[in-house]
Amino acid sequence: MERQIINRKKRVFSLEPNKNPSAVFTRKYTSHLVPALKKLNMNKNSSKQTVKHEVDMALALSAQEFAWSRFLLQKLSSSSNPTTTTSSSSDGIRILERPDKEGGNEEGGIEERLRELKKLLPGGEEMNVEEMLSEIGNYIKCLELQTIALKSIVQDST
Amino acid sequence: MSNRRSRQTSNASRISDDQMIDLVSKLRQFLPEIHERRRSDKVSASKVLQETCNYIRKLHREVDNLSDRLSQLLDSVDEDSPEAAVIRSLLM
Repeated sequence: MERQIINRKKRVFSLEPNKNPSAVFTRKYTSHLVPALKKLNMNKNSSKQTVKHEVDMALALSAQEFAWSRFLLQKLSSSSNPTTTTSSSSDGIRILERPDKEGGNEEGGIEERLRELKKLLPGGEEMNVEEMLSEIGNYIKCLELQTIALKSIVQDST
Repeated sequence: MSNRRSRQTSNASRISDDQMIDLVSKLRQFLPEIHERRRSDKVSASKVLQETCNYIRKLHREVDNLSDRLSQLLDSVDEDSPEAAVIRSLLM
């Protein structure tokens, strides 16, 4: 799996060396995703599963400084079945919400929630609690930026 | 999870009160709806964790929906429509 570095990306960095990390991520994300979509389009291979795979791959490639990103990249690369994605596996989790139980079951509630969180974070089940806590904030931020980038692409086309 | 109640095998059971307080303060900044809550750190820790899980699942669903939408747009690229023309110009 080899992805070429786009000259455009280098140019962007040189023009705006102090640009904030959010903008850098968004440019990286778009520069990975759009060529991938072009390729799918040329190959007439735009099923939901393949598009989802590229959407996730662009996320992993755009945030490689984080451990969760490397776990996600490893998972996507090792999977020959493109339907295996982070989101679809997490969608399978059904947690019963018991708000009334919070007062008397504080300790159990916390442990259960931590296990839930580990499943949602790529690689979370292989991290200790401390590592997971340091990764989770960046993961949430990158998911938010991914959503914004995808919305701008989709809305451009509507 | 067969060993749900066994503390010895769970990393989560090792977390200390100090770590929990640290967790709460860290996660709060990432969760929009949590900012307004004012409770003791201990009581709100479980709720913050729950909110975090819910928020991540919400973001996952949004990404899924947008990805499905992208797939539909790509399918329509060969058609003769204004929508297809726009995405064609984006991709070509």
